[in-house]
Amino acid sequence: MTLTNIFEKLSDYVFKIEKWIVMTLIIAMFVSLTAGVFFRYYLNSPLFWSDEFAIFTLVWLTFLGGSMSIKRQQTAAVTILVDKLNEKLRKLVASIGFFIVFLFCLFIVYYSFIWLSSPNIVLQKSNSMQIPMIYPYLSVPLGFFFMSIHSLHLFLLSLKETS
Amino acid sequence: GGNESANAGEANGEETYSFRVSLVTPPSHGWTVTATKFNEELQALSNGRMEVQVFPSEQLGSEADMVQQMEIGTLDFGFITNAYMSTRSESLNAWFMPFLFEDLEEASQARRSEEARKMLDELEAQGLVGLDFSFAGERHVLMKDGAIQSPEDLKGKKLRIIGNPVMQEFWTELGVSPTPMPLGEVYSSLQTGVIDGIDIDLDALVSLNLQEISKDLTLTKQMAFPSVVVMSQKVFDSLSVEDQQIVKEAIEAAVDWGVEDAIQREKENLEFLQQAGLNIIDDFDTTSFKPVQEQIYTKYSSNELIQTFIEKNQ
Amino acid sequence: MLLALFVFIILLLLRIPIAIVLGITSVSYIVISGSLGLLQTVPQRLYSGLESYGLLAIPLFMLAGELMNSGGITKRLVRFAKVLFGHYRAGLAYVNVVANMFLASIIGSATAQIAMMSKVMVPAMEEEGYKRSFASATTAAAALLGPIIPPSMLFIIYGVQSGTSIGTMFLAGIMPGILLGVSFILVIMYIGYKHQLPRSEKEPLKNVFEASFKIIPALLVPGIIIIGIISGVFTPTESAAIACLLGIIVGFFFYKDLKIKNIPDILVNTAMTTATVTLLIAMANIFGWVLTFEGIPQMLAKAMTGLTDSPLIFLLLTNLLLLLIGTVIDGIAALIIIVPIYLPMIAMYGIDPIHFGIIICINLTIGLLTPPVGAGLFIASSIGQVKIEALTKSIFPFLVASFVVLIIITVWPEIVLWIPNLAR
Ligand code: NA
Ligand code: NA
Repeated sequence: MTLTNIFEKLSDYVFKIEKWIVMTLIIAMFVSLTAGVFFRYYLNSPLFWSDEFAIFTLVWLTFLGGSMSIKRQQTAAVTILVDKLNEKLRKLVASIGFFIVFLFCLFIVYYSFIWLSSPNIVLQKSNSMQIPMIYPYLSVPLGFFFMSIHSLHLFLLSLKETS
Repeated sequence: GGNESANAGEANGEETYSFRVSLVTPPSHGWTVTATKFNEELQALSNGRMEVQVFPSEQLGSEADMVQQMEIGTLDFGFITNAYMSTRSESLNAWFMPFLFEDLEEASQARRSEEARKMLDELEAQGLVGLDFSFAGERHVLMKDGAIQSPEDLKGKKLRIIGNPVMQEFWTELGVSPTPMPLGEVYSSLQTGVIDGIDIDLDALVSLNLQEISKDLTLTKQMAFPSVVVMSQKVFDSLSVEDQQIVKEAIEAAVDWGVEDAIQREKENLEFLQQAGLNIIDDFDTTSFKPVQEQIYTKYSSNELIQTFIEKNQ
Repeated sequence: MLLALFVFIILLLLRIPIAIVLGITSVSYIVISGSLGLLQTVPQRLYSGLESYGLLAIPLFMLAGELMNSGGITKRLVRFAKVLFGHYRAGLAYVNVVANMFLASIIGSATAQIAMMSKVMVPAMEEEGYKRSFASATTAAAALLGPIIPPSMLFIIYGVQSGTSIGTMFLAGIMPGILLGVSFILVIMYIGYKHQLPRSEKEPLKNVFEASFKIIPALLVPGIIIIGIISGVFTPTESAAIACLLGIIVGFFFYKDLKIKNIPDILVNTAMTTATVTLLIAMANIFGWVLTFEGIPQMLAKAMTGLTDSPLIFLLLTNLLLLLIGTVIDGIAALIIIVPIYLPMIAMYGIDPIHFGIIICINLTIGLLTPPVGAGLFIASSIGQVKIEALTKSIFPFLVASFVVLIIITVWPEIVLWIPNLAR
């Protein structure tokens, strides 16, 4: 098994996990906001946590969904130059691009690690629910870690196709 | 120099500094104006060697961001709301004890107490130098329709409040349905009736123009609402002892001025609101609110600092 | 500064996702400027840029759009519009503008509206024989009305920042909103005759009645949303969740087009389209923050006040500057940076803050569609599956029309202030 195959398996597996999590997140966001309306208007007892909870699901959704869109290559990008290149050059440019994305992901993961290991992180609690802020914060390193796996796989793949 | 954030430089052999102060409030707000005053005081006291650039309206990020930037030393000063800071340092909840102060003047005098000093000192563990407390007006109850005389008038009403545990408990115990919601949503929510009222200070009331869409304002004065003026410990330590003194004096002078300004603003705002046709109830009586007040006091007295603070100010 | 700009352009040309390009550019700018301490705050800034209640409307309206598409609501709405207007040349394009004006009175954000309407209108127009790029461009341009016709997130934020009346801002948005709508219709008329846009056969009366009857359950969705917002049952953001609920009910029980087996795909699509937008917002936030930290916007503004004494020339120059700024930062992020810098200046020139607020909000909204960086452009391109370049080309006439409207309301403040003055 080549390195590319290993990363392909890993990347596919991560994608599957991400899929399940984001489906849960959207349902949770939808349910909490709808319940918020229902409890406030019909039961006259507003849920103090529904907005905050929904925002946390949005943050997780952004970083995991962002990672998924990198894998599926559905992100917005400028193709003006790449379109004019021949097949081989295009693959080369793609591999450089994926490698840069990979490095950026590692950068974010590294600095997130410094950020989240600061002793003050444990002091931070959310305003309404009073849950430790580390739970929403973790979305940043995890999302970019997954993104680094996808981009490394795409890099290896396009490198293989170039040679 | 050696201090990257403060843009330290040298002029005539003396250190010069250009600091940054960050706030969540808009340019017209009392805290932002106080920060601008701080810049004037700093320039005057240092003979132009020190200045501070004001960044209002969350331009440099949320309060969590500000605190982090001060920890690292890339941001020099911040006016952080007591609501946020109390999520990181429990004793600050003392300021939210209901009906503790008669008026803004009394609340601002409490900032010179030993307990207030201790609250600021506790922030050192987070890499922050607690400098002072800056005040906005006291919090009152604005209703789309209805004056407040007893807790009965609040039962089942949907009131927009700040998502802080003390405020949440206080209002819940009074039978209110507390509804946390971003300030930007308040105008249309009050207009359409998603909420019935809001727990708010007059400055915010006027700047949001809520008088356009509501009838009754009861001057309940249930809480003071300070911001905590903090400085990055890293930046503070990099200053000479004389310069540290200049910073402290400048901020004290600015906050003193700011309290006077806040009292003046409250008067002007009240006059403006009266002219705008809002029904203002200024003979609010706290008697029927006593049981709930006692309950909150008892609960938060488990923190020693809060207990002493209550005893001394009651 | 120039070096960072260079990095930005090179990375863009390498076909790197624009969100990542913004992130890398910010990081390189921090490194170049030497404030290395700022690097440590990048991850938290990424996080807190998203901690905003208003953003929740994006995934939920995307989900609502997906549900309505799969549930057969769109199909019937379009059918209904077609039997009424389809036999006019470019009929569906007009329907698009009118539907967007209608939707704008519910939605306060252009990005959310572009997302929702692109999902609905682009496939429908394509089916009728319109070019995909023209369909996306029409939709994206018309959806700009979202934050101009009240309610509006931008107006609320401006009102809070500048201390002006939000209610008055809302009223002031009506005339510019109508002007923009009319200008888009004129553009479509022109293109319609020049390029022979599609029209269909006139339908028999029987079909008109049938389509009108079938549309009733679909109209429940906007109907209940409007009534719900006006009567205070829910906030505009919450209405996005209610729209999903209604979409599910109508799709499952009335039209029976929505199947359980479609749901996972709908959810995953929603997640990915949402994330492309919100990740971009998070990255743009860092970008704006780095610029502010270094005082770049403040420097630009200072340079401007030295140029002229005339309020009108100042405003026209401001339009030009905002247009330039709007190419790289747009919408709420730009508003938050710019308003505090401008407030003292407009007081100096004696400009009405309401008038200024409308100008700045329209300008930054147009910025959503100007390349190279425009959230609206990216959403329309990714949902409509049109290349940015093709979309930019098709959108150009609409942008020109918006600029003309912008100049008109800059020169004649009476147009903006007419309705607010009536209400006084
Ligand atoms: Na709108
Ligand atoms: Na743009």
